[in-house]
Amino acid sequence: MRALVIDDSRVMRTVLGRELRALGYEVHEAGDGQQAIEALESMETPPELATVDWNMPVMDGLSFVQTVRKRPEWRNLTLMMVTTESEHDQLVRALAAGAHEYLIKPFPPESFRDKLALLGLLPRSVA
Amino acid sequence: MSLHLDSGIAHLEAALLGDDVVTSIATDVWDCFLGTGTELPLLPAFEPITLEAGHYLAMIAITGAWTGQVVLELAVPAAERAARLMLAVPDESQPVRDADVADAVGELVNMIGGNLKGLVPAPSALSLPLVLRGDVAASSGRTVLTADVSFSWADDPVRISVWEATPSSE
Repeated sequence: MRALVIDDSRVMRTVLGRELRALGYEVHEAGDGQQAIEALESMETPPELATVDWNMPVMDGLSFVQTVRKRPEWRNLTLMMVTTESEHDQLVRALAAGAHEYLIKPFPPESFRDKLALLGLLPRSVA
Repeated sequence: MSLHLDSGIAHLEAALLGDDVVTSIATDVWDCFLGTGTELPLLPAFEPITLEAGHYLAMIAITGAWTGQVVLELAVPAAERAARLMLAVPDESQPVRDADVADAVGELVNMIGGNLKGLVPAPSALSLPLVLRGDVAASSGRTVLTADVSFSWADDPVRISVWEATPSSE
């Protein structure tokens, strides 16, 4: 399985990437929504999962989700917001735009795995 | 009458962003992201702390129905330890780039600020974090200090303060 980790913080990309690699994912990274769009366009097939930060320069996470959902070739890409935005309204906006799950930072590693399990994206060897 | 109501709401908001709430959020952030559990807990400091010149200072602004800023200050060894833990570089002989230390400190204040933002009246927006080093004042202009918590993390000082902008400063 493949994942695209989108966050402007290299440290946070490392943290999430480490979790995903431990689960057997091949991990790609992008520092903002625009870089993520370019990364997706360069891939022959999109990854199964993208984790998406909300507050990023150039293109924020919500705009990224809206852009992805306009592209039918990426319809199978599962989008998980991983963000500090903890307000109910923000969660609703993200889900309405097409995100599948929402995880608020900080979170213990098991919460991240639980969300992946809910999405059916926990590899069988781990589940 | 409305003055009394406004004053009451302002006091309530200040209480929501008080020391106890900041302590709870900071402890969660440390436990979850610095992965140290009980080994290196973030402990309240019961004596005044001193942050030496050159320490890391990260700030993030909340603007909207409530406007102010959240400031995180860490001694240099604490900031470097945070980066090592988040990047999983335990070997202290292996250098950590200054940019990664600043990035780690920025992410910590981002998580603290984001969770505090969820407690203030909506709508409000969170800025991107700004990280500085040196002898920098935590806040300036017309602000009111609503929370100021000092911690000790493996004997290194950490301070978190919340500054609410007064109406004339917005």
